[in-house]
Amino acid sequence: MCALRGERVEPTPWLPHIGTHAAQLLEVSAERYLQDADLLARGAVLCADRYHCDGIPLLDDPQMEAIALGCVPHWSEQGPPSIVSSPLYALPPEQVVAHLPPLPDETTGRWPSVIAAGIRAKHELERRDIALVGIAAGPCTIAYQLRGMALFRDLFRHPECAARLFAYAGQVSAISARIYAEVIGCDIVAINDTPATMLQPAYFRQYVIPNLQPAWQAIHRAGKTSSFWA
Amino acid sequence: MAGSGAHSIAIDECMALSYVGEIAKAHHIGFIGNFHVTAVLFEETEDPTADVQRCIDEGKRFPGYVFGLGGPLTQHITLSRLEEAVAAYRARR
Repeated sequence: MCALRGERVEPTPWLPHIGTHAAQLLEVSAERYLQDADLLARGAVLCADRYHCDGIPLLDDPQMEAIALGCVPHWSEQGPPSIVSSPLYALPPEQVVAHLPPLPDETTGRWPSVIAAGIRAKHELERRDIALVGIAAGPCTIAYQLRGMALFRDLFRHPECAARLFAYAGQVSAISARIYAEVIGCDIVAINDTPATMLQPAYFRQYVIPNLQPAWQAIHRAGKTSSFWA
Repeated sequence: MAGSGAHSIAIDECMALSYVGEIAKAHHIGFIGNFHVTAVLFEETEDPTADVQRCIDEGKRFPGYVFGLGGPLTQHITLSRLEEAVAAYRARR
């Protein structure tokens, strides 16, 4: 935690971006692993032990939030699911805001399984002095999954629609961050927003940075360490 | 990213770790990276320990460095190559 706050520490700590690798070790499909609380908890502890990590992610599925919001996944044997459709894909831009899904909470989608897995893994990892890492999808990831390629058209032609969608997505990120930090008690909460790297710097500053702030506030208010992965 | 308000950042293998280290130091934040997962854990001709050495050489010079991966692990990597990389990290950390 000290290193992630900018301090020099010895020895250099190690924190892997674990993906669905634990499914390989547990000899189950990624689809089954990502939806099973017991497998998620066992996978995190197994990877932490096997690779001598200082911190380990609980769940690494960038689509988790989008599925909870009504997006349709195509599950894979070997990796996280892909989003194949969304309630917002085909809507004209002026109708997007009116059709934004209700904000999720800890009872929505796969959250009950993730919370159960996290509480179990946290107990085991604490005994080993290993940090538990929660990974929440970032605003651009969620906005992109909800709107698809139309998001990039909206940025050019309907910036007000894009701004409202990014603001909504930022609220969803912050809810995930709060659940990881407060409900599960993750020591580190990362916001993973890889699609944000496709935006030009001006758009990144306008749409992503402001909508990350609610998540940072939720993490820091809980006294946890934040990380931005992209 | 460094000025976004987070305590730390993680970057992929396309970024020079020494460049990111300078930025992280200037912003007093931590940084995680950026072992080349796809090239090293699937590609049988590259030496995984060489990329560990690159990360340690470039990252450890700066405060706030955490050894990590440039992207998520997938299934069906060559386990022995990952174990070799972890052993190399532990010998150099």
